[in-house]
Amino acid sequence: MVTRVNYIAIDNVAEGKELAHDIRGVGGEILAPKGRKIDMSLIQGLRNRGVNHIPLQQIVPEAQAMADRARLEASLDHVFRHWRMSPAMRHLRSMLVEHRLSAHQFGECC
Amino acid sequence: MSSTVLRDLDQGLKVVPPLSSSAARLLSTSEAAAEADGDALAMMLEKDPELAIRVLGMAGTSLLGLHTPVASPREACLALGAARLRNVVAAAAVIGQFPGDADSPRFDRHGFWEHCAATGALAYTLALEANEDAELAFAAGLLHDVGRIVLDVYFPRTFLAILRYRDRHDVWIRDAEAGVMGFDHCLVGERVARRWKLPEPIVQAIAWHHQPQRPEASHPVTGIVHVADVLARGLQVGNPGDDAIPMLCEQTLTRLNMDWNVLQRCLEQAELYLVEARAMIHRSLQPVTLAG
Repeated sequence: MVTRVNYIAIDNVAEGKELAHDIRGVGGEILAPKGRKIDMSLIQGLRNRGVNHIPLQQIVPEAQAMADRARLEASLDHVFRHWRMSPAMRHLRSMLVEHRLSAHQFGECC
Repeated sequence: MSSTVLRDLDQGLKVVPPLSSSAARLLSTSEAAAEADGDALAMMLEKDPELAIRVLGMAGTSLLGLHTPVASPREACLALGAARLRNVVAAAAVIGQFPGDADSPRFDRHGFWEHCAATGALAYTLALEANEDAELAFAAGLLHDVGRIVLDVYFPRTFLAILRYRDRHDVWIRDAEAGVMGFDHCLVGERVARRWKLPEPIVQAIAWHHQPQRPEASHPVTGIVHVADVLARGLQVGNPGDDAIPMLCEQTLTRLNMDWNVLQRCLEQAELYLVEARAMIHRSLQPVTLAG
């Protein structure tokens, strides 16, 4: 199993789960830290600050994670095709792969 | 660029309409006096109901100033103040100039604005990290490719030739622009943005986001928009006009005091802003319906 961050619409989040990332305000200040348990007062407070989605950890089956990685690697190979010899661009590509595989899913409910 | 080419370009760009008179007045008034009276700005905005609706739609997002929706032009002007209002007016007025959701057989305009909104959201996050003006960075990111949509809407035959050149030679669209026209969307965007009297840092980001190492690119927001554009292409959000990524200028990263760890953190932080920016651009591209 592989974990991934799933962004859930705040109206559909259930109490008791933990935040997968810090939630920051418009000035970059932390409104709620990673690991904080979700309860109604947190949901209400975040909603009042204009936060519409909440990052939650999601478990993905290994086979699906591998298929997602292969698809993404192929897609980014194409996007980066002019810069295969550049170490910096290769590094950027790797960073984007890892980021996108860990945190780019947006769901409707948890 | 020779003065003859620039003169001819400016002559050709006369087909691009000016911003509405209210938008132009708001931009010049708020530039002339940072402490301009909120009531006076509101009166100007109320004279242009379409612009007012667009400004209210944008001002209600945290990316351009306010946490919660605002109900009236007066409320928006008073809450934002002159300097921040300029960013909102610039973004709202420019997006209102273009048929965002109109069908184009050549170019996915909706996808184009999604790319711009993603660039804005990433620029916002990078600016927070760099301690720069995040709202200005969002507006600059949102408008950075305006020259490309100008080409699509007002010079369709030239733009079609650019797209064909891009496909035939498998090049980045900016190289295709240079191959067909001898200059790129950055120059087109800069000339139009200057005519529209957009805030100078936004003009600079439009002009130099692909050459942030140039001495003319002195404002930090230009470098921020450069990095944000590269990241947005790497995230494959929307349609910037091609399926290639420009080279990231490492010198610019250094100048912004950023490294790979910072970029990684910004990508994580940007996720929620990307959602907000996407929702905002979808709302902004809807035709404005005036009551009565």
